[in-house]
Amino acid sequence: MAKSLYQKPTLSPLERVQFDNMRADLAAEKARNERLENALLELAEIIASHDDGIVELAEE
Amino acid sequence: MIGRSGSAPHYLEIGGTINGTYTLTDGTTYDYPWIIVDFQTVELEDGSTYDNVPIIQAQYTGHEFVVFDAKEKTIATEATAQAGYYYVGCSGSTYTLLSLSTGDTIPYGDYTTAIYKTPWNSTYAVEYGENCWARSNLRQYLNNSGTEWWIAQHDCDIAPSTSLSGFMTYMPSIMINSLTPIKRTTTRSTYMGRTVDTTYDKFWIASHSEMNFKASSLFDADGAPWTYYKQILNSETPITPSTYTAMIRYRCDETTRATNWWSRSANYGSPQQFYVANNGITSAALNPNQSYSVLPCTALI
Repeated sequence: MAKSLYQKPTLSPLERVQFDNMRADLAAEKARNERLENALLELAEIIASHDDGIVELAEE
Repeated sequence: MIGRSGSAPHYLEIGGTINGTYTLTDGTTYDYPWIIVDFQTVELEDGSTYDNVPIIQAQYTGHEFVVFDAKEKTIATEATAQAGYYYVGCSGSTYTLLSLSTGDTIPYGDYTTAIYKTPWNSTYAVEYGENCWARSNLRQYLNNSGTEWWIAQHDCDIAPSTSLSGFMTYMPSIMINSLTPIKRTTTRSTYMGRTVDTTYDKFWIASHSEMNFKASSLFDADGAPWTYYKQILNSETPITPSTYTAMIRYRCDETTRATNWWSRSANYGSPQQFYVANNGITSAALNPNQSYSVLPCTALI
């Protein structure tokens, strides 16, 4: 079993766990950016739909 | 069998992986590599020993959180105290170890919730479950398949409240069938006598000393440090548990989601069980009745 399924390490054990951590950090950053982008899009939609109201308030 | 030849270190390396799969009951399959973490002399149940056997540990945890051991709330019903048992009165969230001798009348009317019986001179097992690998629910979870994996290990053992399937459910049968139980030793916590249990299992979890942490006033040495942990912790000698990002591990179904994973080591002065936290803290322990992930280990023999 071990011979056919064995993968020789291409990174040292420490490099491998550092790689896994970096991959997770990048995924977390990507998710944060996506959330920020979605929030900005939502905000833009809200502003667009209330554009008249904002103008009226500003005039008052 | 490769592990019995004694020659595995000639063609396998620490940090190398054995490809594996983790298949849910709905057929969803995840990669589940096993890391070669050490080469050891292992002992089988018949007393035979083999040198240089590869020890492997899952790179990722499973997709479930598993209780280490459920609260041992065995309700007493007998009229008088029995030899070999202690009794714990409970009113709401207050637990009291009763001072009873064999044959004394059990004061059921004094406690509003229940009176529980326990083999230990302590309320810990009743309140939190036992921090004892040999008697744990988790050990049974790892070594069985299907949903009926729990069988009482002692007469005060309570079933965990879970519908999880045992870990072997998710492993290929060819792998399960090729494994042999090997010996591990694990020290009990003080309230359970601080004696050493010997277990023989196909799957088990690493102890803190196997992860190259130095035994101290918190936990005992249960097994020699593994080469892999010496390498990732960058120390040839055991070190003090602290925060090490190299100890962070992820789930197989979400390989960028860090998770807490159980250690085999009991925090012997308390009711708690050690674990490795999702931010790399290795000095923390938690009540056994909580649920965390697991990184199973096995031997290629």
